[in-house]
Amino acid sequence: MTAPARPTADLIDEFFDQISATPQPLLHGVTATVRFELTEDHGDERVRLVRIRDGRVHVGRRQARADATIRTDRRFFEYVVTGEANALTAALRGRLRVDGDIRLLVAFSRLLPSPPHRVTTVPPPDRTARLAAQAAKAGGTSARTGKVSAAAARAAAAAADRRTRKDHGR
Amino acid sequence: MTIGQVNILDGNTFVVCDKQGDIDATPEDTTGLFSFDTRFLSKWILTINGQRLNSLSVDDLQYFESRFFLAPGTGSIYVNATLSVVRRRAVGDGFHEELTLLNHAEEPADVVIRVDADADFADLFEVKDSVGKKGRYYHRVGADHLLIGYERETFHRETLITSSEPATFDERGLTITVHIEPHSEWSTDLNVVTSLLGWGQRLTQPKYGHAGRKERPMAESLRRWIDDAPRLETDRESLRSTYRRSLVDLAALRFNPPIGPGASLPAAGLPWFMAVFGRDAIITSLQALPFTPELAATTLLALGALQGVRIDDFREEEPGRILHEIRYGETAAFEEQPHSPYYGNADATALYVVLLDEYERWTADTELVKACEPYARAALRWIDEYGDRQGNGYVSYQRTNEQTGLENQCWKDSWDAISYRDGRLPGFPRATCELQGYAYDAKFRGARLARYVWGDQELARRLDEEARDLRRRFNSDFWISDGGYFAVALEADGTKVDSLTSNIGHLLWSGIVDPPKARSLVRHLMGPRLFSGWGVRTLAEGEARYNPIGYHNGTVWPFDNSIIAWGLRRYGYKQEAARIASAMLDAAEYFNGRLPEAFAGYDRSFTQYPVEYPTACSPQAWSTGTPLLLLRTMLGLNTSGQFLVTDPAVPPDIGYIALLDIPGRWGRIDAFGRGRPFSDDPRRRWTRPDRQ
Repeated sequence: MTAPARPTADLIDEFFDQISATPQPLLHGVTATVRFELTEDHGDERVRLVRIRDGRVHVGRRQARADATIRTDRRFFEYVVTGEANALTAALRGRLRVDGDIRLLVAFSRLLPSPPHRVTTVPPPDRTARLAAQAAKAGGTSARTGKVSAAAARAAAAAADRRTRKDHGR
Repeated sequence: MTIGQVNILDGNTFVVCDKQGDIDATPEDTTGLFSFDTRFLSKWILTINGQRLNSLSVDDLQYFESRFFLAPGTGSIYVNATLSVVRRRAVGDGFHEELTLLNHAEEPADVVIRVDADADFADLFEVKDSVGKKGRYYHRVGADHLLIGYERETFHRETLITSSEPATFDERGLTITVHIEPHSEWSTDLNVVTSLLGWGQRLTQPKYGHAGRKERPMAESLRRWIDDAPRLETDRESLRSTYRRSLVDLAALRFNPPIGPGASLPAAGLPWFMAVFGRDAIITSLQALPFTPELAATTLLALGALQGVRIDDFREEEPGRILHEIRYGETAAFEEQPHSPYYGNADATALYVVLLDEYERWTADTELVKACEPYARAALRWIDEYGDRQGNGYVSYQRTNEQTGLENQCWKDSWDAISYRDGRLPGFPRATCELQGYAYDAKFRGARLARYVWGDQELARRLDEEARDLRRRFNSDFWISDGGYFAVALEADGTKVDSLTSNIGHLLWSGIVDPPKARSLVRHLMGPRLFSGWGVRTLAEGEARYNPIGYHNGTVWPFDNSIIAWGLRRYGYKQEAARIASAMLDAAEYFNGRLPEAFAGYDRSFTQYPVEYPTACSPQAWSTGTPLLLLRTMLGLNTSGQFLVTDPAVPPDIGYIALLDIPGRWGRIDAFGRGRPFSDDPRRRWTRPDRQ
């Protein structure tokens, strides 16, 4: 497999920016801290500390105690934040490891977007190249951040597609 | 379950074994130690001096603990053995087995104990065909342990076997050679621990490491569970034992999902459904609400936390949708099955709102009801935005996962469960009638919650209006006037699917039926085509697909009957509700108080006893909940503001029922009822509808 082109945007930080920019009603009632430890290609670790306070998300970079720690590599986590990979099956496969309160993975996964593909019966293989191409294509603007993530764009497209099918039958 | 099998369980960990306590799995013999939908032991065979053992007796001490009394020598010839073997096994994170040998002879005994062990790590969905696993097995032998593992990419499952007494381990088990003095005993603790690497570090000792030596938390928890439930006094002995059986089985089916709120909700059934099912958990919680309201609380929180938030066709997830089923096995992990969670059902979302309202009426737990408000609002939105797939104002279903999704997304979910009288299957989307009843009830109850708990008058007005509109349309669009009943479903083009089914009883429960139509429905439900004498059949005799042993096409389901009895009470048909209760409790006697998932639809006069459906799960949560709901319908228990009201209609074969210390917003209160003869005299019938 040839080395894929690096996406120009950093999908992960874009995702964290996006979830901390606005209140997240899906996390109402949740008060917890989740640490993400993401291994970069060169072996360094990217740490993000996500503090959830009743629907508000704050993302920091320092090490601190957390109620749960989620560990995987940066490449795989890109699939997670774009909806390509499912966080819960990844945890069942050991592809993503959770130490601490497993329920926080469930809570966090409520913020993840719809899968970009319609129907799948196989877990996503290493589709980095396709992902990079999609990320490059994703555009659009939003009032708050001035930018919309590839994930959000795809979720919107999926919803629109569903609407279309609903209106015109299948 | 096959006769002769012994089951013990804790949460989603359970053992199915033979009467010797052995496990020897084959495609036909699905024994094993199962946890998280994976078989962690497929072989566990004890031999003494190379011989298998004879079973003398089995004690089911608790639902999580069994004791096997054994003696050497197999076959029908009983050897006058001088050696006894006792295996005492408790399930926890794996299992703990206390193995004791007693030498009754005048001479010392030199004994070779052998346990053959293996694990195939079959997914529950492939236990009948576990060949062709995609991963790799490994065995690691240590001085004090045997580790059997399975890996596929990053997926790992492991079984660790240890012994408290010195043993020699090899790849296929362990051997212990002991010398036992005359009239002495020898004992060791065998521990089997299961591990899901990556899911949490579970490589610890089993929970009940010293069975029988100290107070075990599970025994304590079971005692508290039974003490907290209302006490039943009645002259009918079998009703008392059925009630107790239900409470114990419900305790056994309590399930603390690893991704739940840290408390228990009911799993669907042993052995193949020790998993969270949205519909089953909600129905069981409704049935058990007057007895164990905490099940409802946990169910509401857990299903809310896992409510759908996005569109995912593989899982059939949609915003607001309540899940159908969660599994943790290899096929779920690799997305070969969609249960992570799978959302393909069209009823649990409305039933979620129904349970939330009913829970508030009983408990006044406004804190929980407010915590669940966003879930309930999303569920109510789902009914209109996604449940109404055709934009015609009715909830319908059509799977989006064509490979592994369910065709029928209502409780009758076998492929041929919804049919025309002539046996034809309708097309999709299908709008089955009970889904409209549930949606109506959800809107009606959602309006009440909005008005009195959430303080949203605008929403309350809108929901009330929508409920009234749905009811009006439904009573005309689904009604088959020449038959005097409601169609089981509507096709996409509005054609009525005309078979006569038990679904019409659910409509009474939901309250969507215009009162003038109720009498005709009741005539059908209690008539010879639907009522077998043991209960109401799923599909009426005479319909093309009727089959008294067809899973959803003619069998009698206890849970279905309990809902129908509740519906009959709602419309004032007390005597008919009492008849169903009486028939079900009679049937329960034949199953030692444990109603199976379903039994055959043969006429009562034909078989004399209820014939269990061949592969039914038992205990099954909503069958376990059935006697509880029937107690409620017999006593006419209902809430009215701050009060518990009772309006008993107890069948004549029961002298009296006293249910003491019923928990609720009133604290604890008692209810009484005395049996009254059935009467055909309309003046003596009870016809006053329940208050709503």
